[in-house]
Amino acid sequence: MRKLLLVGVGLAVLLAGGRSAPKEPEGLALVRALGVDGRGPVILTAVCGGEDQDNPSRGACAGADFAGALERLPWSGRSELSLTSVSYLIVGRDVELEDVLLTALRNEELGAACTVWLAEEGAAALLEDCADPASALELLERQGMEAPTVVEALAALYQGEELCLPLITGGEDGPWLLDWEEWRGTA
Amino acid sequence: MSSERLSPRQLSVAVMTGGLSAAAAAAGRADWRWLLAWVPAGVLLGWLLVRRVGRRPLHPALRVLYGAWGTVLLSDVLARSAGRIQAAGAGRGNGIWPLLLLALPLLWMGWGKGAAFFRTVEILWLAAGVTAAAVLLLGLPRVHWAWALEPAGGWVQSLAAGGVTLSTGLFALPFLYKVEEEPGGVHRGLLWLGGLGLLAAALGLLTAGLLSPRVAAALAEGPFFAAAGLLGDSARLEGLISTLWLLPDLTLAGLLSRSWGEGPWPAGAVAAGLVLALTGLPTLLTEETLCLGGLALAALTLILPQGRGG
Repeated sequence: MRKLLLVGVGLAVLLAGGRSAPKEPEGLALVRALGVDGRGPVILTAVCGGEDQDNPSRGACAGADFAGALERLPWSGRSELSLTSVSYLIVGRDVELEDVLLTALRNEELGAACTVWLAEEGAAALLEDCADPASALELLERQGMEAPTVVEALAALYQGEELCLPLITGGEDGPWLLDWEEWRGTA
Repeated sequence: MSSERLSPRQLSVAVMTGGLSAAAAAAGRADWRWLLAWVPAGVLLGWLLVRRVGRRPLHPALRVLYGAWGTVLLSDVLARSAGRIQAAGAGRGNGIWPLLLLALPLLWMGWGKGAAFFRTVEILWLAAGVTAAAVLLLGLPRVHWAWALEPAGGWVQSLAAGGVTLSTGLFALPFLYKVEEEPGGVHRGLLWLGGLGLLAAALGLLTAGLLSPRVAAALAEGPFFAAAGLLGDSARLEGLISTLWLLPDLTLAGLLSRSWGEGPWPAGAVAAGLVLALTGLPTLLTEETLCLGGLALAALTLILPQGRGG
């Protein structure tokens, strides 16, 4: 019995080890990059992909606030969008960042480990121009770009510390780093 | 061993598994250093209580008090677990259903014999223990030590949270007279209690170190589970850990319901706890109240004479 248990555990570990990038289950598209613009209404732009997909699913919607917009997002694309695998949160300069980060952390779907990026020309404009932003941002991370996570960014804001976000811009080939910019927010 | 006799290990495992429920609730809201400070105090108090109760049933008045306070705590556990399930559904749906669904397995467990419950808990402990170990092993290397060393919560709230976690051990006392005599059994039981205190402190440190105390304080519902969610690429991990943690929740609720005695009484305790949870009583219970209740119960156990027989 004990040997059988050990074999079972070993097999489970082996099977779990071969993890690749998230796959899209039937009829459900996993959002990898989420853009946020504005502070009321808040505009969300979601892009799936992350495996150099040619035509990743997309969605866009608006809500009175970030939480309200998030509720509408799953049904804003051609297929149902899932937020459980968001790796990149891209914000425009005009967002209420503290509210966005806290809502992301409290949200039961959004991962608190996703990284936060600042879009020079706004998140929607950046994501609309880019074919597969998740793959491009993944490449930037592999090159050593360490954008703060949602938790790190929120902790810095709460403690009154300097929060530096990677400022990105881009075109069809994907976003690239312009500079690091201290978050000041807008009144 | 007779099917109605318990081993010291079974009792210790029930306290450890059930205590994990309270430990996760305290993590992120209490300073882990205060939780750590509770370990020697809790073990000493546990030793005094075990010596006092010995191998006799509790005094009838104490049994009533344990039953009453156990029901209050049970309602709190039910409300807390149901709240997590409700939050996982984005707060949608009627909050009564999760409470009823949680009460069903407890009613079933409460109807069975005590020995069967404690044997089941040994299996639940395997799952809960592996989950806790995995969370700690994956999480501790990612801890931001600067955050972990920041003060978290007030000292009164932190002390109270530690007291509530270790007061799980109180509810093993009504069963001591049923435990098979084993050399070193008491000492091993106290080691398990100390282990629970250490684990609670470790979970507190992990939560503070992964989220920072200020961010953890902003998360009203379960900062520990938000911290556990950081250990994977997908937010689904938070839901998975939260679901697995229902095993300690059910164990704690089951242990508390057993304070009503044998036969169908524990099922009655579950029904009473469910009614209290539905009335919203747990929202009025602060950590400090729960800790004071546990301390008062411990003090009365030390003062009142024990029952006869055993």
